[in-house]
Amino acid sequence: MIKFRQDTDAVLKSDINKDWQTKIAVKITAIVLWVVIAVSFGISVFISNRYHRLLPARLDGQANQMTYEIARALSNSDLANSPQTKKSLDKVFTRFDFSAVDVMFADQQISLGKKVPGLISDNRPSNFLSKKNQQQYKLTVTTYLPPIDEIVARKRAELLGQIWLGIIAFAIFLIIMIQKIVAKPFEILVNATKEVANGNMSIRVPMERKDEFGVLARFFNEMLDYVGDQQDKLKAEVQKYRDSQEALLIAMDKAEAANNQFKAAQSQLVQSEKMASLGAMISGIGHEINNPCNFIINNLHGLNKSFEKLNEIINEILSGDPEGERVAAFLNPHFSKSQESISLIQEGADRIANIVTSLRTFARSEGSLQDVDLNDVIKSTLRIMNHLLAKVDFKEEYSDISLIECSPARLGQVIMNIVANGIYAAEKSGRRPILSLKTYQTSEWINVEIFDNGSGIPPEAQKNIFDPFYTTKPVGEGTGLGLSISFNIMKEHGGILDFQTSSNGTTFFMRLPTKPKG
Amino acid sequence: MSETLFRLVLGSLLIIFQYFDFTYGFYFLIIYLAAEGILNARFTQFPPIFKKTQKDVKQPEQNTKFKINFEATRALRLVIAIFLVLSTLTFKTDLWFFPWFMGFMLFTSGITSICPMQLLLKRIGFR
Repeated sequence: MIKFRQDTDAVLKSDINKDWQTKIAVKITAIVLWVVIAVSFGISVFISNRYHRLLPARLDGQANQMTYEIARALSNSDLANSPQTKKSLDKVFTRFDFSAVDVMFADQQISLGKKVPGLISDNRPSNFLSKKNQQQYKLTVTTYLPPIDEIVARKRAELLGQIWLGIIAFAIFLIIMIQKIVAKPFEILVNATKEVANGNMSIRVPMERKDEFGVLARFFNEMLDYVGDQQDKLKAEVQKYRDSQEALLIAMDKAEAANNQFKAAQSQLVQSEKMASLGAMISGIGHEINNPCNFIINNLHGLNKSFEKLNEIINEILSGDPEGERVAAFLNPHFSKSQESISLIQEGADRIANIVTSLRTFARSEGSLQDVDLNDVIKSTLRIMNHLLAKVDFKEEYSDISLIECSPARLGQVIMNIVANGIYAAEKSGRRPILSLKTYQTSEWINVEIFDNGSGIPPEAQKNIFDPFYTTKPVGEGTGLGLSISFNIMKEHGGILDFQTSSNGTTFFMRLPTKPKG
Repeated sequence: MSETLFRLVLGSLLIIFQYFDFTYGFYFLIIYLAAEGILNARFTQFPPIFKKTQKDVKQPEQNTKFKINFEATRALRLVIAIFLVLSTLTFKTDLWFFPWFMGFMLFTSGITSICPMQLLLKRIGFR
């Protein structure tokens, strides 16, 4: 389209406006003038030849006529070579084609015209009756002619000179008329076409003529009407198409949003199922571990007591005897070391029991709402994550907070996700990894702040981190569901999950209402 | 003086000389045209003091389609000179109309910038 416009514009500017318009007028003028010249020459040659053929007879007639008129002029004259007589004869002489004339009468001679060598003379004798004295006088008129060819050439030159002037006038008239009749309508049409090429479809050619230009202008206008109508229809169709496209895009956005919601719900369901399965498994394993663990703890307690008793008995038996004292001194460190080992085993068994208890609590409480102390939920969750926390410098600060009704397992999941992310970020920062957690209560909220000294969340990722399947971790290290699920869990509890981030670290804020929503 | 203007002036002079039967004018034109044709000079083209220099003027490309490497405008001058010699000096009585005809055609070509003789010469193969 652009190329067409440029080409059209170039043609209009360079060819039509400057040369073409002139050329058509010039061509027509040239053709007409050639025809006129040919016809004029034909006519002039014909006239010239005819003149040449008839000239002797004509000159003869002229001589007779002039002699007659001179005789009549002399009959009224004073018969003298006076200026009046000469004037009246000169008046007659100028009306004829002779170069010179000699008039002889009554012993008088009057010469008229100019005699040059080469003139042809011819005598015409006559007589006249004088009115003055009523006498008859002899008259001789001698005419002097130039060569006939010269006369013919003179006549031809006059004729062709007039034709030339006529041709000049005709050429000017022709150019003006062609300009008006042909070139001007073309110019109007060309300008209109130029406007159309520039996109102005409202232009019309105002030409009220009945000739071909009028017809062309009428069809041009009708064509523009038709093109304009088609353009309007096309615009309407395009608008319809655009509206449909917009509607389709909106529908696609909605479908995508619904799809995302579906995916999130699906992932939550999968996660819940996984957690439920994990809970059942942990509960079973916990139960199985708890029983032998209780045996170990109980028997270790008995074993410790027994060792203490055995130590007392041996010391009593061996006391008072030097050999016995020596044996007792040998055995006592072994007893102490054994008791110490038993204490350590007991301590380890207690830790196993605590972990198992936490796991069972975590598993047992899945989905069910309970009045719990959030600090306890945090502590039991962190206990499970002990091996991860060992990698960072971890600080925790708990304030007294009131019980809230919540799902401990699900909130534990939130804590676990945020802490795990914090540890990952702190480790990746290249600095000494620090993680801190603190809880406190305000009038309406129970707050948990978890800070890590990672390098912060990139600005381009900040608006997406709660979106499902969005992760900045390398492939295989994260699913992109952790924070999304955490966000939804907090929302389900009527709480808020938010964050502040900078290059020095990130703080996640968990806010739970003191009274649960609804 | 452009070629068109030159033809207009030449045509007008021919007609004027013919009208007044100015034989010396024909002699002058014959000599002038023959000189321009033979020497390939343009005496009516004034030195380019205020115009572009010859170096800056774009020279027409050598077109190989022309059979004769001779400018049509130059040939035109020679043809006019020859026709004038024939019609005004040699066969004046028989070809009396020819100077008139040439004058008219040159004058018309000056107005319209279309010269039939030049077109014919180009058709023959002149450059």
